[in-house]
Amino acid sequence: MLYSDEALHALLCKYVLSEAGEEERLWVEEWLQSNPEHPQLLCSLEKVLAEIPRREHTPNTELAWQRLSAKIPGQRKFKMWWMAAATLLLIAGGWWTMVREGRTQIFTGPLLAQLDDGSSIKLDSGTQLQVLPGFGKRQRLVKLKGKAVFNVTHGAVHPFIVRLGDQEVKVLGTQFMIDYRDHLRVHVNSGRVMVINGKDSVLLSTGMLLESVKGVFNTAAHVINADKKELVFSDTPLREVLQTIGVVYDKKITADSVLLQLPVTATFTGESAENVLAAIAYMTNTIVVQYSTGTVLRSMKNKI
Amino acid sequence: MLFLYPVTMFDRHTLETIFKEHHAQCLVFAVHYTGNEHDAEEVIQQVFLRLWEKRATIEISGVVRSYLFAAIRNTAISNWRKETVRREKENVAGTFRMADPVVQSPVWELERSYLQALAVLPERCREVFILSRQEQLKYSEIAEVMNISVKTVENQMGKALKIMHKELHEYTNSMQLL
Repeated sequence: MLYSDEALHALLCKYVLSEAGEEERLWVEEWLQSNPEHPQLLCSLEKVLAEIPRREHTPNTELAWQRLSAKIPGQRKFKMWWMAAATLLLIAGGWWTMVREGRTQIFTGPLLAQLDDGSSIKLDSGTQLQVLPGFGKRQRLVKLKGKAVFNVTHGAVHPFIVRLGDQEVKVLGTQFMIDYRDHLRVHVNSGRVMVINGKDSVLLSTGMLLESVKGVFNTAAHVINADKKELVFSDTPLREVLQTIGVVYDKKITADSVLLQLPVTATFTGESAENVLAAIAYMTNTIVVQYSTGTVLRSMKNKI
Repeated sequence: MLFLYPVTMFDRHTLETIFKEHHAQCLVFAVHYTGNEHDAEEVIQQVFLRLWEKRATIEISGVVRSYLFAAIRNTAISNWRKETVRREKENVAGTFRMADPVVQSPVWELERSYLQALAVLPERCREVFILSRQEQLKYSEIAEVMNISVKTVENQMGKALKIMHKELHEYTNSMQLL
């Protein structure tokens, strides 16, 4: 295949920045071996593409939030007598509540944990759930290790937060599954959740599946049931279909760029990755090509 | 995959979480378009205030950062246009361009050459290159932020790389850049 000078630079740029697809990477690797000057050129381009150092900023996020918060209507302005009444109420409420709230409740699966706010959590065998002190009163914070299906009540004052090591899932009223054994996996049956890991956050809605491996988020949509591998596509672009299959089956799958917008309508339940790919290849008039680094759907026109 | 955020779901806690999570990144990003931290902070305040006001109907794609960056870019450009109209009335018009990246290199000559090379790039080409190399955005994120196709990002990066390589040829051959 011949490339113009600019197209060659675009391709080498993708290669250096890990944006190239499987086919493109193979092409560049062949190109590198075809002439001893090519590796020198690539090395030279890599220097141009080195990250530009960032300007050091020292943002005062707390102050900025206070500024923003002051502009938002509906601020709670406590008057003195309200504060006094609240203080009295706290004293009158007595030490008993404080003692009760000061305990961490621990549930170990398999069981169905019913929490004070009405939420229920079905824990798998060996899964541990800690309900932190003050749950439902000061916050709705739990810690999880293992796998569980959550049914969280709506409309509470505090958001429901599931802490998973240094990551957390913030629930916006919903039913969802968390699998936090080898790596984090979240599937939303209904409603919305936000997943946060300190570097980024992702909002998941119904049918979305997230996998977090080494802090990198991968998301897929159109997943009705993650465990049963129930996938429903309706005029879905092939690009999204392959993204979903990649996350659900933990495989790296790409396709020729001209194919990525092809619409796919299909329903799969409990099928193997091979069967799903074979069906999609049939529907899109493509062939499945296996490489050592992943799978590529190729147009029949490119077969030869 | 797009979805709606009902009012009852998008509460102050959610806004505060998103703000505190992304404020630092947003500030660095916004400075590219405003040229200084003060104006950048104003743009961020505008974006989050609008996010709150429109929370009943606003649509956010999965990755929050891309949404915020796109909103910051659009707001900064919109502010600049308003400012330009105001200045034109006062006959002090200027031309919009992204703020130059500050390159903190011990090699002054190289730093100067790098900035000069960036200045040679066409406007959109330079924006794509800076978002990639300074903000470290993926092609798909740049496409989303600038509302262009990934293919256009690829082409602009190829064009930028070719020009930058030509402009910095003597340095890339002789030493480690930056």
